[in-house]
Amino acid sequence: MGAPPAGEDRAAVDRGGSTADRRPGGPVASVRGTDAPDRPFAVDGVGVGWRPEIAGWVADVSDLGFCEVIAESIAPAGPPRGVVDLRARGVPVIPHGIRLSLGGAEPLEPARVAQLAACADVLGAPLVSEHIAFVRAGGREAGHLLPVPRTREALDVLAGNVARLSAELTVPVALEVIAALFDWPDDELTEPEFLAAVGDRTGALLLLDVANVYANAVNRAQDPRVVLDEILDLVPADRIGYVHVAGGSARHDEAGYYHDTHTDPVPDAVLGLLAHLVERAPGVPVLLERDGGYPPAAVLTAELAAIAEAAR
Amino acid sequence: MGETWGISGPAFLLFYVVLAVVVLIASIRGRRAVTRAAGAEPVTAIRTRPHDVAYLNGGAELALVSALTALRLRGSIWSERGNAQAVPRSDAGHDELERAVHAAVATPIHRKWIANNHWVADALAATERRLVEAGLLLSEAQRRRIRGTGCWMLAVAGLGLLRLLAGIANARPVGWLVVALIAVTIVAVILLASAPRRTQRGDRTLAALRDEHHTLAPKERPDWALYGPVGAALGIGLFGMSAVWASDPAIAGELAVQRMNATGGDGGGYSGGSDSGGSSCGGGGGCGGGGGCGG
Repeated sequence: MGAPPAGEDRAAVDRGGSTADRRPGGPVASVRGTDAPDRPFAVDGVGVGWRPEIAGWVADVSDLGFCEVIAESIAPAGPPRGVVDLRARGVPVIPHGIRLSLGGAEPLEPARVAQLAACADVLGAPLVSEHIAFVRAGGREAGHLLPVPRTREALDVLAGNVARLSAELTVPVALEVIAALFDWPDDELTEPEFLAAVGDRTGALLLLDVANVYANAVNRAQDPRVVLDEILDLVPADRIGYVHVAGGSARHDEAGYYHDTHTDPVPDAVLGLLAHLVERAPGVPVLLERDGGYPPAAVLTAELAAIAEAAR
Repeated sequence: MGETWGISGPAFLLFYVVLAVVVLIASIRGRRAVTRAAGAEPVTAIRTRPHDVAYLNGGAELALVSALTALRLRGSIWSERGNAQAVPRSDAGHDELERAVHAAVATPIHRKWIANNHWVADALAATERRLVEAGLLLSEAQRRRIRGTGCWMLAVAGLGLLRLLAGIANARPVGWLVVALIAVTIVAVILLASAPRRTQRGDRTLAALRDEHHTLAPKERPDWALYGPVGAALGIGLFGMSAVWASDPAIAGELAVQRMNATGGDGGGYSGGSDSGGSSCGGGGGCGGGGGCGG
């Protein structure tokens, strides 16, 4: 596993500062700084999204590299015992926000920002993650992650919101590409161009969800591998925070769209896409997200092993 | 007219109250000595027999719910409105209790009557024997000894009654003595009627296993498809009926499981397990003659 080329000014990064005042496109402070110069990523290995329903299984995963918790499900004053136990074992835990609405035109809710920051603090998290999406507008909650228009105006909104978030954090932010079931008519950029621009404008890392890349490409009648290559051509490997893998399925509805369900097994095509990604970004940390429809423990263990194999 | 028995009323009352308190302390110590005789070291190895854990926590009813749930998750039985029926030619598994239950529900039967089946009764009796031998449950003889400590208090009540009759015959005021006598009698009846099911070792075993398997607690809504029938049974065994509602409301409804249940508690209550023995002094033995206090 070779380390991706490091930015020459990385050592000069002010590790204590926020990302808000960093120049766009500049390196992001992270634990990969002076104390771990050989490690290209803030976390290592293969991880699992921690959920209370499967906490006993997560605790037994051998060689667990890291975990992720839904930030909104955690009370910073008293994180769940399973999460505390993982931290005590030295397993890094990343708070993963889902309701911040970073792509929304309305101001971020300070309480939600404070909650995410408090989670990062109490978990000693190496980074936090959220989505390139909005979840509410005009006082209505969508209940879903909705895509933002891929426009320069939307980039301004994202940059502002990420700056406000970063000002409250002491760790970097990774932004996830979501699975979108529609595109806005006024898109100015392709998804790869937009993801690169988001990284440049916000200074955030990319949380590259290969299942979402796959879903978007399939639903837009594109070749997932070509789209992934375009993303990797534009986003340097060392700007990838980590990678998500999840299951999904094509619904037998009229549109026949592929849905990122998190309740189905990870399709072979997504594992193949992951293997391709790892060829181009060796050593990138990978995390399995599963939110329901759980199989017996042995099946999930085998799925995780397949992911580890593909990510090797 | 002199004092009854040559002792003044207030002096006797003081003596009587002190005596009652001393006897109560002795009774509690005597009961504790029995529940602690097996030692305090938890026997966590019983986790490999989840229906034994259920029996330890909630008796035969909980053990049957955990066995039925395991069979249901394995697809070996159907259940509806509390009735269970074996799926023809389905796997009965290897567990003794599950096999007995599977055989018992060859024709549809409500879970409340399953324990009457002789195979099931045998399996439950074997479970009880194992738990008694492991020092986790009290034997019937030990429970009799525990209830027998109530006889000492009954003797105190008897002494009070004699004094009361003598006092009335002597035309002395007896109001406070009546109050004391009623209190002593109530305590005696409680001591005679109640004995815990579990030893201290049994309580500590449950506490240790609840701690070890906290991920199976109802508040986590553990996923039974993932943990499998054995994990589900252990969750029911450790945390009671509420585990079924938390993880699989459909099965809870099918098996007509009560939503709230004292055994195991909602979300892992650590009840001390002091159920009523349901038996008064009559069956208790060792009580005849009211003990040595009668003279």
